[in-house]
Amino acid sequence: MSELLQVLRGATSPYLPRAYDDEMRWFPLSVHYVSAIAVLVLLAVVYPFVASSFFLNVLNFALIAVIGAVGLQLVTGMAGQLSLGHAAFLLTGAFTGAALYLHFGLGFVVALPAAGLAGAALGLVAGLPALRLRGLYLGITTLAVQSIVLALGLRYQLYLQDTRGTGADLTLPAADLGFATLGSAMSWYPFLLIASGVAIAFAANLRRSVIGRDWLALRSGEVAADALGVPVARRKVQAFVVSSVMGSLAGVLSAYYFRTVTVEDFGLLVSVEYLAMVIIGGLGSVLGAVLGALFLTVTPFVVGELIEVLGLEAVVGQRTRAVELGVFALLTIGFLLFEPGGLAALWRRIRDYFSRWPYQYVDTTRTQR
Amino acid sequence: MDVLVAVLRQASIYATMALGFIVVYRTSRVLNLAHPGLVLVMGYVTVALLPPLADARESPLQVTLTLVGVMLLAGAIGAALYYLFIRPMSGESRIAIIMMTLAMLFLAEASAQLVWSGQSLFIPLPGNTTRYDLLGSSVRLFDLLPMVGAAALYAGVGWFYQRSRYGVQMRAVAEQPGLAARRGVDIDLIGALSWAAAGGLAVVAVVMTGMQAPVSPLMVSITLAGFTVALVGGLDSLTGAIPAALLVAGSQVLVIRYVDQQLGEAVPYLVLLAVLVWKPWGLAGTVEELDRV
Repeated sequence: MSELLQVLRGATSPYLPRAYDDEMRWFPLSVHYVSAIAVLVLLAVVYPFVASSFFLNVLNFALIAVIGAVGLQLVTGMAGQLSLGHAAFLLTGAFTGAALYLHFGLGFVVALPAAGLAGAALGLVAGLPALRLRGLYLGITTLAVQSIVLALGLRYQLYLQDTRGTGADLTLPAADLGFATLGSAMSWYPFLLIASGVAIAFAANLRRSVIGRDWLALRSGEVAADALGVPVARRKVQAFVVSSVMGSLAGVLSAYYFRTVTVEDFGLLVSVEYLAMVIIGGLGSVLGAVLGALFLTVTPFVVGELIEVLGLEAVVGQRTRAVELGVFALLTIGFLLFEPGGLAALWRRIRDYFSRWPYQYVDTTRTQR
Repeated sequence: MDVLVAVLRQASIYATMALGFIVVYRTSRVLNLAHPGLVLVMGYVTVALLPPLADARESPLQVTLTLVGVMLLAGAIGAALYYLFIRPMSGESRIAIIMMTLAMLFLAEASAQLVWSGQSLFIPLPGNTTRYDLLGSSVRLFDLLPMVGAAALYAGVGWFYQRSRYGVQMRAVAEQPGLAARRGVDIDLIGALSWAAAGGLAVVAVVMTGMQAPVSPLMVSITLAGFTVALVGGLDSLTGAIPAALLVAGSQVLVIRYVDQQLGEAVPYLVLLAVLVWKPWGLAGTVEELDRV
């Protein structure tokens, strides 16, 4: 009895969480958790020494895609707003970097934050229709933004060709960080690893913040969210801004990584590929965006290798690009039909299978979205 | 005069392309982004099946029959696509369904590239040199045919929705799929029919485009411009699509002619943004009911 009174008076109770630490106690550092992190870190450290330079390049490229895909996951997966114009955000970042170098001779250190700002501005513009539009119509306006930005980019590129005599591609110098120059795939790797890690941590934490929870509410039901006091229009615009900033950063990174920029690399297909990364990975999950980006970036290279290994070059000939496109489309269709939850759901099932073994059934309370 | 003809011709082509999107959206609320792929593939198939131009001049009847055959084939393909890819997706989120249509689009593009490797091919149609004198200027037969065709199509589809049995059923499914099913409407059949109709319309659209330009991978972006017409008019509205087509085609032709070629590509989308901000559901689209809470 006295114990109960103590609790009622607000004295310490072992059951009531009072601070963040109390809640974190529910998630102790288990052996599995620690060993999983250890394996991941080990893999990340060993990979560049084991893999050929070709596959190191592939992974670098995938890491850049991770940043872009996580950005798209925020707006499409978490906030539930279809975005068919992610390539436009990438293009903005890449062209900001290129323009700063060509006109003012400014390098990577300036280009990175500038690309973020340019992305924020475009995201604001792209998100503005959210004040009037809902649902599919809003998604399609992003398609419109994509086409308009692409046309403007092409116009700018032609203008540069006419006035400055640049080639079809705009070339950039190697990225100079001040204390180090990112010249080779090997030197890019740690930088990109940290950058994508920051992006992932940012997105995962954003999900738990006020904004993130508002986004999840928005996805589940716009009217209901509105009734509960979620500032719907503002949250939508914010989602587009954040996603666009991350997209632009990925764009400027890829521009400096490949050291060439051309409009051709930012077509509708790229937007769709990013959307596919998010969906194949698993809508709404940050892990899904990462897995999807890795999966879809690596696939075409694996297809290329497979063609070589199986000796199909004679059959395929010049049409490798078409084969890659076909494989991409079929993979996406396959995932949509047979694993709608994406790679993240697949991963969860595998994990649950082992964590429940030898029992067959999964405790449903643990499988959260 | 020739500006007017160009605007009307472009508007009729866009309107026909938009019809392909509208027919599917009206029954199933699926945004059919696979339509450009269907247009592209059917364009190449039409080129492959039609007899060469010299023979075609001899026998217009054979050309007509082949075109009808291609339309039926396209209808069958459309229905098959529905059963294979769209039907299993019912109940999934809208984003997943759109992703499915996009994947179908790129599957179509990939197969077109594999088989025809991105060539530009002219559709061999007899009558490509016929000209008429109209109000003092000479007008090609191929400028007039799309206008007549689009007008006939809109009248036909309008009649179909108003009067025919399946048209009425389509409207019922569009309004309340659950209720329609309980009243004995075969929802699957109606969905497949709408996709088949989209397939047939894709052939019409590609023949109309083929009268002006060769079939090439560019068809995809042209058809996407037609898609903006559907949105500007309101995704489920036939009456909105016609003024929308005139608006989009008019501004695009004028900008290309008097301002800048590259910016012309972006004009349909600018019009789309402007109109949607002004009227969120398009010129004549129905305001969609609130989401379920």
